[in-house]
Amino acid sequence: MRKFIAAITAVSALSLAGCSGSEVQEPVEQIVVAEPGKAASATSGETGPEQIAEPEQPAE
Amino acid sequence: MSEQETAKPTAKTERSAAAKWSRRGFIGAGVLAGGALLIGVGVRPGNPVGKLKAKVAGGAGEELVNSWVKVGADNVVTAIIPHCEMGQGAHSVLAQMLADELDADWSKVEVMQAPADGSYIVSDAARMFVAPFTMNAADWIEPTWDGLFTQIGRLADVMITGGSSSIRTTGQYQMRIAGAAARKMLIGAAADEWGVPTSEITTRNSTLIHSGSGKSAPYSDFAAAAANQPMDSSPALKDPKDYRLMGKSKRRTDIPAKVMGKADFGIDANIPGVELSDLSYAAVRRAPVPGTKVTSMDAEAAKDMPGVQQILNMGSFIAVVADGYWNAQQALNTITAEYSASESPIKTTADQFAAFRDAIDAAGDDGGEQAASKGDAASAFADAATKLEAEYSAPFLAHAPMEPVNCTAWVRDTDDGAKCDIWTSTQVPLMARSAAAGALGMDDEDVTVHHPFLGGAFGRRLENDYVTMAVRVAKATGYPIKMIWSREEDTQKALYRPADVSRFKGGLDAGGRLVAYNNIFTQRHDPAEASVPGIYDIANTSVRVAEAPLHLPFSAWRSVDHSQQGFFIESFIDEAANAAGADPLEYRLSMLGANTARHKGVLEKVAEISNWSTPRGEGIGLGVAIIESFGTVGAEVIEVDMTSGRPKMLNVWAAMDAGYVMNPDGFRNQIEGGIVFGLTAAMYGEIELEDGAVKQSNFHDYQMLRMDETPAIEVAIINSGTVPIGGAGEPSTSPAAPALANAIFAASGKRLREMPFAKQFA
Repeated sequence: MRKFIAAITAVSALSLAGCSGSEVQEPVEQIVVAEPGKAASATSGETGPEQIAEPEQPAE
Repeated sequence: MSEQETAKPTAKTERSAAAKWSRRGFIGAGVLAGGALLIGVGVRPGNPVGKLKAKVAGGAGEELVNSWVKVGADNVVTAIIPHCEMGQGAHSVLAQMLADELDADWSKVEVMQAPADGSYIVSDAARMFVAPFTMNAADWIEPTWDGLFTQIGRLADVMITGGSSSIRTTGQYQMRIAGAAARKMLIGAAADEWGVPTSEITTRNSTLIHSGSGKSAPYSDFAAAAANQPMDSSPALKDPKDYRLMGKSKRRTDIPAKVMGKADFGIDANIPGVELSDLSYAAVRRAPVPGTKVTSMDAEAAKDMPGVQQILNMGSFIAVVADGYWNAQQALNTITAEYSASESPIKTTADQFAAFRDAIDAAGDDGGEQAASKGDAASAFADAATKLEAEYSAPFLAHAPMEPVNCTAWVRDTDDGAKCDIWTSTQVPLMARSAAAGALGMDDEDVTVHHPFLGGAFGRRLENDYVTMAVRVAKATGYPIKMIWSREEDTQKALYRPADVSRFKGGLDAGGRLVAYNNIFTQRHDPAEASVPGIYDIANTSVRVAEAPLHLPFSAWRSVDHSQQGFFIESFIDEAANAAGADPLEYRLSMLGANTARHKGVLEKVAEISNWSTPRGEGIGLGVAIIESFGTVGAEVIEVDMTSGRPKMLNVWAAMDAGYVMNPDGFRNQIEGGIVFGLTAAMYGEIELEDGAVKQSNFHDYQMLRMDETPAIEVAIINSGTVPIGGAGEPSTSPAAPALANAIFAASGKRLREMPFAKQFA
């Protein structure tokens, strides 16, 4: 059981590791020098996953 | 490279494997009521397939048969793969496993990266990460484990690519079942339409065939109807004699796009609606010492640098946003800053190793946390005919993936509230989503993660430090930014394979047998068994861990604890063999304990292919090491030439038993890569500390093994039919360093107890 609890703790730590410093933090200092190029227009999730591999050629 | 493969799994072995899968399938069905699905989906409207179709099968004519299989109008079958592709070939081999059970036409199989969605968490993968010792639990407790780990997987976002786990968890317990289930659903739909029994329909090359009536049809004709068929969560799986794709060296599906420059990696992210020339880039600089902050910055010069848009002090780091990465980095280079003082007493590499040794000294011969214990190691040592004492050390290591650390982020307000999209190379897309949401104060559902190919990772991309940094900058600017770390930033401000010291006392009896083994070290992370010399029959064993401060943050590095422990243990066993006056390979064979048939097999095989017993010339030596890790047993022999006074590696032979290899070429690729990775660390890998910060900065002082230094590598694959099967990505890394150290000893008499080796011959 001790091993199990340690394992659970480890995964929790792994999960939370990504959140380290994850409290919402505003910049201490922000200097705006210039505006960027034109604004974007897509909305969240519109892109979706893409087909990322070509079909294999039937060479075998 | 020669291809040496031994016996295929026996029918008996495979039947036992199928029985296990069937049992697990049954359990998967059994926990449906609890909301946990083994192969993920029901197919009724409103079930996950319905929700997933818009995400993964929104193209014209595409039908989602189950969560993992879609069929296009052109009869192209797409395998939806929940693991990321970082060069290890997981996409291809998992597609092979699914396509084989589906009887799909391999020439018309494509691969899709599964989206970062909880529906694509694989229960068994989560289970292997959380509690691998439950993978072979008793039948009566299986429903509890499966249900528990499905929930844990979702709660902890365990959509992970790592741990050499893709084939042995997702492949075996998900993709094969999903493919077989989809095939059965297609047959069911055709049987209904043709008015014939399902038993009379056969499949071949993505085609349904009814010989009696002469009817045949491509899968695409019945894909939509198949989605409405009941899904069998424990379909019969193929016997190895019927494999058409599994066990074959099929070509990697990701290679053509990479060769043609068409493949997208995280760093290639393009944001829809934003011209590449209009995208803003962020260069970042963290405080140099872990745990410290930026207290002030002087950015006057940076304001006037070309292309600069914003300069931000984010507390723990500085960011410059500009119209291109080069301009951002150049401006960042002009910024001077003050940092808070570190509370760590460790300032130098010597401080860190002194802290390890102090902890070990304090623990003495019996202190610290007991990791393994058998017999009475202290008494056996006192009574030993021959006594050995040795101390080994390993340095901090960086991951140094080829693709720089990067993340593109866009945080904005919409009519539906605040939303965030991130594009990044990550091994943990759902954890990246949670990390981003946490940093922004958003709900997970308001964050969308796009995760294309990874240009290497080796554990670095299990972390989300860079994700939180990117989303914070994007939120502050209000427009999308592509953050790219310089090589220096990742070498100096990342997370690391920990350094360690390991101290041994060993005793041999009058016959030379190792009978006392007392070992203590300070770093224990994962896997738990890495520090235990469990394959050897040593009557009295004590393995302990002393608690010591670690200055740099920990991160899993290819093979994790095996990377240090393999060097420590297999070097010490070699010293025992030498003290016994025995041949190192024969000594290992003689010391093997119970249930080590596979270990005996790989040692004998590697002896055969390396011509171990054939004497080499003066100054040339062979070294051997054997390690079981990630379910695979691997033995390596290295031949080294010391006639110049410096080690020149001539050959590496590796015999690997992973139970059953699904793609021999891909497996061999991983074994070779793991060996080169391990040899790089053995020869050169070292992250040092100065004033509390990392000294090394780029590849000129964090050196990789060059092509002209890399030995010829021969890999022998042993398919012993072991169930469960083992991993491929990591098991060959850890034997490389001890095999090399042992070879150098054999050739020169010089015993290396510290890594890295090259500087000891300068």
